Amino acid sequence: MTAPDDDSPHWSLRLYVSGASPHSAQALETVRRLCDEELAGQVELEVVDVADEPDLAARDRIVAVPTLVRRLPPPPRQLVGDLADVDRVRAGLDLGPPPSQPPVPGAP
Amino acid sequence: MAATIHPPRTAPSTRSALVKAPTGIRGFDELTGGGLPHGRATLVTGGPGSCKTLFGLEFLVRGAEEFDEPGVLLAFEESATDLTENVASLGFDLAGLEADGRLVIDAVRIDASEIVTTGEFDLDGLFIRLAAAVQSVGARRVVLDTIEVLFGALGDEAIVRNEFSRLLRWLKDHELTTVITGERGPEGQLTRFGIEEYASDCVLVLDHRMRDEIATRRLRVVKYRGSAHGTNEYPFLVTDRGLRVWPITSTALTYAVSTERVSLGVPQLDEMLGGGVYRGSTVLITGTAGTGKTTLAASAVDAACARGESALFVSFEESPDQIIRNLRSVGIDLGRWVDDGLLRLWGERATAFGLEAHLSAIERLLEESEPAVAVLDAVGSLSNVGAEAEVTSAVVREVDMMKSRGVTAILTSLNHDAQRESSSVAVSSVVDTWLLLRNVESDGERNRLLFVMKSRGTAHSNQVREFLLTDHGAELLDVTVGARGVLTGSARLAQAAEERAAAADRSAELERRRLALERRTAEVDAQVAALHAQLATESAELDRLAAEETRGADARAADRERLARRRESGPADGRSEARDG
Repeated sequence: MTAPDDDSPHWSLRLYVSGASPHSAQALETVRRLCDEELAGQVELEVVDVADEPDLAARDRIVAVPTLVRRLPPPPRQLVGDLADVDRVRAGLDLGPPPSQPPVPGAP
Repeated sequence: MAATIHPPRTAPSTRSALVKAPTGIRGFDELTGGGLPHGRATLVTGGPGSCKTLFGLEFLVRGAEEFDEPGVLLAFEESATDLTENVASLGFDLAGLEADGRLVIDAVRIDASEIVTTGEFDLDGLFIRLAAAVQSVGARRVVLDTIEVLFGALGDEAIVRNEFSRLLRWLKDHELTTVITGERGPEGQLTRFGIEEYASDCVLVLDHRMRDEIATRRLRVVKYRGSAHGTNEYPFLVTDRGLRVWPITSTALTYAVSTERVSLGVPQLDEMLGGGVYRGSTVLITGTAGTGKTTLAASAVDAACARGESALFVSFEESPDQIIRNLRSVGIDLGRWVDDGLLRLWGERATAFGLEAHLSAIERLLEESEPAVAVLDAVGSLSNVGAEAEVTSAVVREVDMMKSRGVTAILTSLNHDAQRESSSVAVSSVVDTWLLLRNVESDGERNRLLFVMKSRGTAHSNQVREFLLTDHGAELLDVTVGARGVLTGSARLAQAAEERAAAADRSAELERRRLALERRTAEVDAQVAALHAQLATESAELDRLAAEETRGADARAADRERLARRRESGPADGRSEARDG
């Protein structure tokens, strides 16, 4: 189900960060890994420092940093925080369960 | 009434170095001795519809317009368009101020349904937006409305709290005077998320409740660190020029006073008051229904306009057209002054609004018309609007408003009980001159009497006068004091007629007596003449008798001589001679 094909959805993501804050760095690392590992070829990732683009941040109604904005596919969604909670990140991006961890078929 | 003295706005308190930022909200700066703590955060909390957003907006608008302090609004609940439209009716031109670079509105709409919290974060996004906005206009004032939205939307309350605290420190470090609005929490809590513990300098609570079917808004200063402040609830309202707070004690008693006298339009009344009332003083006219209070007040207005002064006539009982028509019947033509632009007539049912709205309307009329003379007819009508103490306090404020503007004020008030010489609104102690009109009934008619109950700083007549409404205005008549006291109406006329008749009687009697005397004199003269005539007659008789006697004596002598001669000649003759002799 996670196998990409030509008709699969296209993601447009924008990550707002702030300077060298540790939360921002962690979020950037997480989102980069996700894009590389699961959304290769299907995602446009833009990284914006709020200090450089306050107007853009205002348009996107950014309050907290870091915030990952899912611009596409709709509906728009904001993932606030350092993206440490993987389940919430996957749910927020409408990704399925991680490929490395297929559903457990039964009790051990 | 507590005598709370607030330092004037311009003079900073000598007891503390606390600098205040005037809000420009009418009444509020008086209440707090100058406004909000400068460079610090003030929490304004209240329930839905309690005008906390409006408070913040007016603080920004006035700051930008009147105090040269640009501002930034972070609006968490409404869009900039909505805000701009909502306050346009209050005369706040947000778009214009934004275009002038004196205001920034940043709508920070947060849609909780779009947000997923995935880990730790900070509010640098907000900080940077705020900092950019502050820098863009050189803002001195910031309003955060309503920042509590963040607590609900961002999930991790501990982080939000921490960041909120950091935000307040940042605002303080930048010496930004800040208003934070908050939603009133359940069960008496000031805010839903307890943010009052962060706003430690000043906390205001706004309230909105219904009382006697009239919506009343109240403001209370819960906390104001380092500053004296009133702890009462102060009524306020939303007018078409923003908020208006009514401090319980308004201006100090420092009105400039005038020694100039102004006429009340009835010469005999002016005379009773020693030449009229002082300019800028307050006259109360009380009386029972139909005693001519309105007419007397209108006379004063008529006189003011005739002097070329502007005047204001506020009626709570009649419409302007009705006032003009009714006064025309007693020969007072106010219509021409209205046409000349000297007089403003304003009719308004006192029950239509709450007391604060009423006060605000009066204040506005005074500001717009800048009258020399103002009439409020009748302040007693306000009793329908509020409790007695509140009405009295409202009227006292009206008096203060007019005194502080140097307006000669004429208030009328109905008293229902003619025997009670008090007005239905107990304001007589704050007025300078009190005229009482009274109906007296006698001889099948009712007549009006006027007394001067008091007149401060004036030697005034202690006499009662009859007050007439003629077809050429109000008139006072010298009273006639008869055997039964003061006489009025036809009793007075009857007394006058009686006096005239008595006077006439007296002169007729005199004439009669004069004539009688003349007659008597004539009589006496006639009698004297008659007596003279009689005397003359008697005198003539006497002469006749004397003459006859003389003749008789001669004859007798002749007889004796003849007898003697006969005796000498014969006896026969001698006998008869002897009998005789």
